[in-house]
Amino acid sequence: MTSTARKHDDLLGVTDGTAAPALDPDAADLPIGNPDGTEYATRGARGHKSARPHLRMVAPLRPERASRGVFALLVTGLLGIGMVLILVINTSLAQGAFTVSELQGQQAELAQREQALGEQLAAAAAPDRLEAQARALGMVPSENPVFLNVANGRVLGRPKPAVGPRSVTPRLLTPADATVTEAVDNGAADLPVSPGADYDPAAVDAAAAQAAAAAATAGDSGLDASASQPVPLDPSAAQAATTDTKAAKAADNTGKAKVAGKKKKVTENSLWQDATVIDMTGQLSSGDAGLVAVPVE
Amino acid sequence: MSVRATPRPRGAYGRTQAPTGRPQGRPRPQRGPGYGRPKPPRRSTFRLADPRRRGAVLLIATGLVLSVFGARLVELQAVRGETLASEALDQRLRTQEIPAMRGAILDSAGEPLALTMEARNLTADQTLVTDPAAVADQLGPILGVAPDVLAARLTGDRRFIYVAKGLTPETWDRIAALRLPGLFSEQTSRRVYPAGDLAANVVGFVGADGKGLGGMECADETLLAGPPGTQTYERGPGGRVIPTANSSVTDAQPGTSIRLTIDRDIQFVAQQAIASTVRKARADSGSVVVMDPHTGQILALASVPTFNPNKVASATDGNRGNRALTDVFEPGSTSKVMTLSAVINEGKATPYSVIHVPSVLNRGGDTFHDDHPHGGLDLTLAGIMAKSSNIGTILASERIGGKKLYKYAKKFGIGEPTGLNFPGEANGYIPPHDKWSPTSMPTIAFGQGLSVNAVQAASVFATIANDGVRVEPSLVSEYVLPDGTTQVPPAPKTTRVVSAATAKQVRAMLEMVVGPGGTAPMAAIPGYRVGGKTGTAQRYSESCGCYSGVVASFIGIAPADNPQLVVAVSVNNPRAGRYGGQLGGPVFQRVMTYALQAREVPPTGAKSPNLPLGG
Repeated sequence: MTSTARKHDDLLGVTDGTAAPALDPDAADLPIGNPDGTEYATRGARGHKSARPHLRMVAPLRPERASRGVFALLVTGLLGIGMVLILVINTSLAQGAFTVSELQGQQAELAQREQALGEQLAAAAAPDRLEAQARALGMVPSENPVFLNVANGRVLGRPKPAVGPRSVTPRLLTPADATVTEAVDNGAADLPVSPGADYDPAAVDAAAAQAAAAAATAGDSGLDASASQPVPLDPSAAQAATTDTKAAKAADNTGKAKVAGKKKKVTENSLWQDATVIDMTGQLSSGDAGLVAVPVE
Repeated sequence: MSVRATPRPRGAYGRTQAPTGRPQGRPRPQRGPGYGRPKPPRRSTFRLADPRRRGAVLLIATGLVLSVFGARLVELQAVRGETLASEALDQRLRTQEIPAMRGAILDSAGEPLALTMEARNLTADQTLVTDPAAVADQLGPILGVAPDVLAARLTGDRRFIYVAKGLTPETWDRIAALRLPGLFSEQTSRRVYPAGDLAANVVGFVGADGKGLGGMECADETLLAGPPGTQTYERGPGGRVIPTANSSVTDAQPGTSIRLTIDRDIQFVAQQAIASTVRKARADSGSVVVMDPHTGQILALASVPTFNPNKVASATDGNRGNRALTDVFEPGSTSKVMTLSAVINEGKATPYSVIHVPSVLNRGGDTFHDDHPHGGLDLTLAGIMAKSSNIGTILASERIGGKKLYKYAKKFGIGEPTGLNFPGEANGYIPPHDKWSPTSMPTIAFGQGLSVNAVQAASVFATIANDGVRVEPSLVSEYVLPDGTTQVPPAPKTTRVVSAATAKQVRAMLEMVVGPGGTAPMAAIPGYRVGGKTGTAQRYSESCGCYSGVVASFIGIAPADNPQLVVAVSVNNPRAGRYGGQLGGPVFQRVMTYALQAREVPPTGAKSPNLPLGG
């Protein structure tokens, strides 16, 4: 028996008992080559065995097969797209996580560095360290609080030379320093660049004292000038002070004698203290090193 | 039959199956020969072959099974649902505490006295360390620990052990760079005191758990610590965080920073000065208090011997405390300032009033002497102060009586809390007036039989310096909240104790102490008007329950005609030297000299008064 024949047989068998209710009214719509084919088929189902040869099975299957294929394709496609999307999302999430962790690492590292430097700074700025540094530079605590009234040149308090060992010889400028401080450029030629045979600390002290006096009498402009000098803790301040001596000599001598005399007495053997006094007016604030008198008003 | 039948579910397809329209209960009819395959033999006998019965049985069976499922479902979801869900969540959920960044402690200029730094604890999984000796050799130089100590910590089969704690991040970086297996780090923090022992007795220290145990660290613990945060996350069986699951982070809030009134430069000078004096005098201890009399702010509070808060473990308990607040002593002659102020304020005498001072005085069955023996003297009130005459002070105090004397002492803050709320602070003591014995009155008048701490003693002079108004001492100038805003603590309490005129007269008398003929010429600062009072009090020793040794003190004010600063020095039980003027004077001079410069207080240029000392 061929398969077609079996199908017919089967169909027959089914229709035998159930008759009309099994019939699909939509059968009429089925695309069958002969419009009358349906009629035959129906009739055939009713028992006219002669109509059987007209039944054909192939056509109706086509559209469903096709739609199933499309459906499968669609589902597969959706699945594929979904998976790709998930992959993309996961990848981008992972990428984001990498970036975040990298940046966090950077942040942590920078924070660490900042912290380490902050700690170093705090330790270096502690008063005991500052005091030791200042002493190493030859500074000593001032014995008496003395204030210089820059408006009228009056000295408040009783100046008294600071006592204490001069722990180091003041370092004079070397040519290498010239690039650092402009003030040196002017007088570098006639200034001792290093303590030579004729080096006399007392002379330097006296010069510094004079410079101090000049600065004191010159008023605001004098102070501005000294303000531009190197920082007081730098030994080169002494050099700058010496440089000022020239200016002091050239400057108007009026009113200088009184204060200079006073200051000279004060500072004869304490160059550092005095050199600091000059600079302080412009630069120092109180309490920086705990070693200097601070002018007021 | 329609051709549509073909794509039906397979069940309907099977040719061995009976068509539904067939009469029931009948054995399957035979078709043509070769139609259908041979039947399995049981089919013919199995009763369930009846499709309807089979369907029903299946339905019931399925129904039963499903209802069991359903019941279980209801049980799991509805009855025990919440419990189970929370149990499951508990298994996955982990909550970690995020420690808050502790606030800093700053000096009055904002310079750090205590900071919290990030740190690492070095941990090890001993099972992963293959060659402990080699690893220890590499770690030793970095950690500064002997390699054999390290090797012992790295050998064994413990999965977790601390190797070293509180490493700086850089140290950990160096170790991490070695790529040694089995070594891990744990984030933590460490408290750093960049200035070492500077103001250590004020700032205090923290314990191993990072909680404040002394000083301001302890007093303001809750403010400094800040509320800790929490991190909640779900984790898988392997301990890994489930990234998509719920997680919540409550950030820890950094603690509040505290800006103290301490000026670290003045503090430094004060510590140096008192330390060298205590050493030279071979004293037990010493303290210096520097105060701004107008604001009550304590600018320096030095106490020696001190300790290094970075190495708390090696310090003794006594050195960790703040002796200026925790130790009390009988003030001795510095207390005469209170007595004589009270007498002047009550209008019973002026600095010029002459009192006859005999060589000895009998009161309450006791005989009182002056420190230096003398015959009968006529001294002015100023002279009594300048010479520190006990007898003169007793006689003057009798002009106002004990009740008033007690009232003034209380107003000056004796026996009262200082208001600093410092841990371990002692309030001092003055016996209530109704419990005074016959000798209480004369002894309290010249400063024995009552006790004060150094800050209270300084506060008495600050009251005189502030024209008779006592401003409660304070140590905190402001709180710096984590968001950068600042909060000023409530204004200190002020009390008028004596009139401004009285205060001025007393200051003039105090200047005589420092002048020639006074007890403390060493305290003078050239160019400045300085007033002060020496004290050499008998020291009560707890070890013997008797008086043994002295407390030498000097408390002074400068400039006396425009007071800006008060410095109180006390030296406890000196063995070389004894007098307040001798020991305290130079310390006062050094600290005050520096403080005047640091605070930019110029001399007033006025001349000191010259009050007559004798009659």
